[in-house]
Amino acid sequence: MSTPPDPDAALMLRVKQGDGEAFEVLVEKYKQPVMNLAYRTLGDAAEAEDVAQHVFLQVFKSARRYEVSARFSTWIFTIARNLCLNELRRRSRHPAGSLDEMAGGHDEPPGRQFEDTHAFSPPENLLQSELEAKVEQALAALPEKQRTALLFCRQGDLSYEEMAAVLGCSLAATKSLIHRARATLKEQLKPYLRSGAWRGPPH
Amino acid sequence: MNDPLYQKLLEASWQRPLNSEEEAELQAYLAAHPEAQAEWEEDILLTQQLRQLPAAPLSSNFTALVLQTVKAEAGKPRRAATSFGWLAWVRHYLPRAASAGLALVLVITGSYQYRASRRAQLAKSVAALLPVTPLNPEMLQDFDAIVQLSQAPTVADEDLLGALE
Repeated sequence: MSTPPDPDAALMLRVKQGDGEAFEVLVEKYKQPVMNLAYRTLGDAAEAEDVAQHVFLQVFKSARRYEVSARFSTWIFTIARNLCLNELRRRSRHPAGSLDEMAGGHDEPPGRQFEDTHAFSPPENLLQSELEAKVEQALAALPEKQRTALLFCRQGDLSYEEMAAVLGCSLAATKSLIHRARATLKEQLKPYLRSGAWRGPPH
Repeated sequence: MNDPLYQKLLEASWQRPLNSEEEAELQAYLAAHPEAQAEWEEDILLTQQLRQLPAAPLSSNFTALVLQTVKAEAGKPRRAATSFGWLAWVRHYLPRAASAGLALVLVITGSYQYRASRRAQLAKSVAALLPVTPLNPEMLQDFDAIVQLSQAPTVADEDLLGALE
């Protein structure tokens, strides 16, 4: 059985030929998933965005050597995870400082423009916000591999086999990581799960 | 709940909503195993909550920033490859050549020092022997003949011994 052609790999092959528009399409498509992974691994929005930018820079730099050996998503998430792990290692060695400082005094980049997502919320949304905070907290406390596996699973971009390839472990080990992560979350969030506070409006 | 069907449905539900066929399988399974109902519901609630997590904050000009960085990066190697290709080559290989040179110098110096220390030890041993047996140059007049005797094959001696017996 032949695997279906990967449209993102086709775009990457166009990038290899010097097609800037194809690169922009890939950035648009993957910026949020890559940022989600970086943000929940590093826990800091500014650092996560620096890492996400480096991921795309790495993709661009590697374009000349790019060969279609796996799905593009597997490749880019592998780069993203490796850069996040590098950043965690760097952070443990040098507790202060960011990637921009490491890059060493480039031209001052234009300022980031964040949308204000913390607009006024009606009281009924407060409970949901609190629950989200609890879930984020429980996620952040998970070991890195379990959290990453769970996040990939949640996003649904990768199959279990592709998750295993990104995480560098077997399929069985990947599923075991997800099982353990979910068991830990259920244990920590049991009061909320039992109270039914999470039950959303009926569909 | 180690039933393969249950596990398959569970793993599918973690990634996406179940399709109609899977939903029918689930209902049949839960009808046969009502004890699994509570765990399934708990799992689904967790999945829902994970899906509802907000997207990470991303600046609205992220793509523009990436494209700008990439553009700046793309300019760098092209210049290096055209005007200063040899410089890039030197930059690439110089650290390796320097490391190899350093290793060679260390090996030569180490070997020289080892030989010098051996020679010093030998000189010390000779100096220690000198007061016991003061060397007389006449003692050494048959030195070469004696050394050659010790190197001569012993077969002739063995033949002579045989003849004498």
